[in-house]
Amino acid sequence: MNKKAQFSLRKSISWTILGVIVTIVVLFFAFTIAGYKNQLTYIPAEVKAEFIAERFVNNPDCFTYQDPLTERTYPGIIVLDNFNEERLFSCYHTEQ
Amino acid sequence: MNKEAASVLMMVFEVLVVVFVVFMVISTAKSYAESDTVIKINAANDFVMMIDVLIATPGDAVVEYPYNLSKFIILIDSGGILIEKPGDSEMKRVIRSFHLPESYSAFGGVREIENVCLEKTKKDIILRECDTEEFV
Repeated sequence: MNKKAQFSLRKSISWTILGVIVTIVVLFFAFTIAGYKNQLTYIPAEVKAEFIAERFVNNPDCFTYQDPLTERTYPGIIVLDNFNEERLFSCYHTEQ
Repeated sequence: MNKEAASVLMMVFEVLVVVFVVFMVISTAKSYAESDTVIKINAANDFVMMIDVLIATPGDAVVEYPYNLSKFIILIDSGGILIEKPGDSEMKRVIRSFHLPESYSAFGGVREIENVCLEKTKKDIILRECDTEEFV
């Protein structure tokens, strides 16, 4: 192979390697930024579950006891007759 | 073309490529640093949790969102909440869903309002502007 061809080949290889390195650097940067954004907006699943679960022991439309005369709700006190699957699905109603 | 001209041309091309890559990287970082997307996502998550707490509250209640939302349009219905800036494309909208008990409903919307309130009245969750003297 003559010198000119060798030089062109080396140039092509250099450009290819440079292109790959630049692509990797840009992708790494994009993923780092996206990961940082996810960290800023992260809420632990346990926190979400806790807030959803609060309704079961505080809302009289779920399991909580409500005095029929005074209509006072007693948070934390469950009516056993209401503690069933039908009431659960009515209290946490999803399309499924 | 002689060798010197070719090498100068290559150098100019390399500099242009580097400038382009640096520009792309800086504009990506700038768009994330402007943080409206983060504010929208955090506000939507906060509203979902506020609605869960309102459902868990016996009786009627009103709660004010503690941050300035005057840049955004917020809409709520029985399936979820949508937050966007005026002129946002569909991709930039933030939507979060929540699950209400049966016979409960949620509705309301605000457009570029600073003080936003969520009110629970009987079995309705209403998104509205806060009254000026509501929490005095």
